[in-house]
Amino acid sequence: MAVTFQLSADDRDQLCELVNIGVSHASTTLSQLLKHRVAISVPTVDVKSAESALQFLENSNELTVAVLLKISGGIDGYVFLIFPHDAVSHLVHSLSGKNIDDLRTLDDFDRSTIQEVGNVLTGGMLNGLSRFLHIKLIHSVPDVVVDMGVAMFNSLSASMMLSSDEFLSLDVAICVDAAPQSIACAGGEMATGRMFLFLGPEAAERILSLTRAMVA
Amino acid sequence: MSTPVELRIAELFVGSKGETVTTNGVGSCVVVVIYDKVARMGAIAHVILPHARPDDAKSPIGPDTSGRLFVKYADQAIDVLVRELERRGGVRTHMVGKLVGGAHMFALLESDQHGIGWQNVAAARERLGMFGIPVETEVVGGTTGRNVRFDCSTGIVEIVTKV
Repeated sequence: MAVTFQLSADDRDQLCELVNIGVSHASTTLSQLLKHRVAISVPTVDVKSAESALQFLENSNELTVAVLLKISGGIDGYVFLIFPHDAVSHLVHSLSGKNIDDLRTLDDFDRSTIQEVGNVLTGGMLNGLSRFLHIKLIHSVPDVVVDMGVAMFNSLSASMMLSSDEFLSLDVAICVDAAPQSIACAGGEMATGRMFLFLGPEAAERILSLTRAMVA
Repeated sequence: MSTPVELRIAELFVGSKGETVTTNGVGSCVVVVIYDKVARMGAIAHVILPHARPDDAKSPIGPDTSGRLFVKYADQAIDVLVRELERRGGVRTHMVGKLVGGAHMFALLESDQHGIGWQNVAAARERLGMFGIPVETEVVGGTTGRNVRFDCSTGIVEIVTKV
């Protein structure tokens, strides 16, 4: 029988707060790397199925850059980062001084720069989660792909659905050069990417059992 | 010409004369087109996964509240496409299949070439074969996403990639 999620409102809050802790670490690390102010949005928790999830990013038919990392150790899952053209231009320019006019012209050096952003963000988040949950979390070498956002998102979703009908998506926006007084993404920032943490039912249950034990 | 129908992921559509269908962001998914060359009508599905699991045999086939049909598995979708075309006067021996998609977008997701894209294409070929419908054209595999446009009257399939 297919495994499905049974998440209460408390469970969702716990997962949101956990991701908040993780991405706060990630944004601090990215901010140190870029020497720019970085803000993050409040995470959104969503249970995704074939019928609902895959309509997500449907309008993202434009070329984007995706960074995929596999998480293993205490829990299994994926971190999926997606950056539109403006975000990639800004990040690459901030880190290497290069101007990127067309995402199709990214060379190995540019890809390596984006890989490093993926490493920093994911490493920061997993470090935060690892300290909080007291479990070991490691991530793979980032896989950088340039293509239509929706095609990449759907390919990952389909892969998740091979093992379970539903999966959990925790989604945050990451904004570089956010307005000085803002504490979260308010739109219009120079570089806004999105970070997803994809978890199957078993990984989500493992996290929740750990957080419930802490709360109890 | 009427506005093209935008086919969503996991959706299928049986076209009438003069209708065109577009579906975007085809990565590891597969777009299955079945065209009856004599009746000059076609049907299309944008499927996500290869085979329905035994416990998913009653997978929703729609239509939903807006009358749209959704099937996520290649085998089930082809069954519905053939049935719907036959219901409208199509004849199986006049039908040909066309396949687009099945890309291997992330090396990280599948360590070998038999990833989900490959499985989707294999499942679609197998099911079409069971109905005796030949695959006339296929643009499958590779590492890039595709946008697809299908003319239900002529059977012409156009593919656009962005990288």
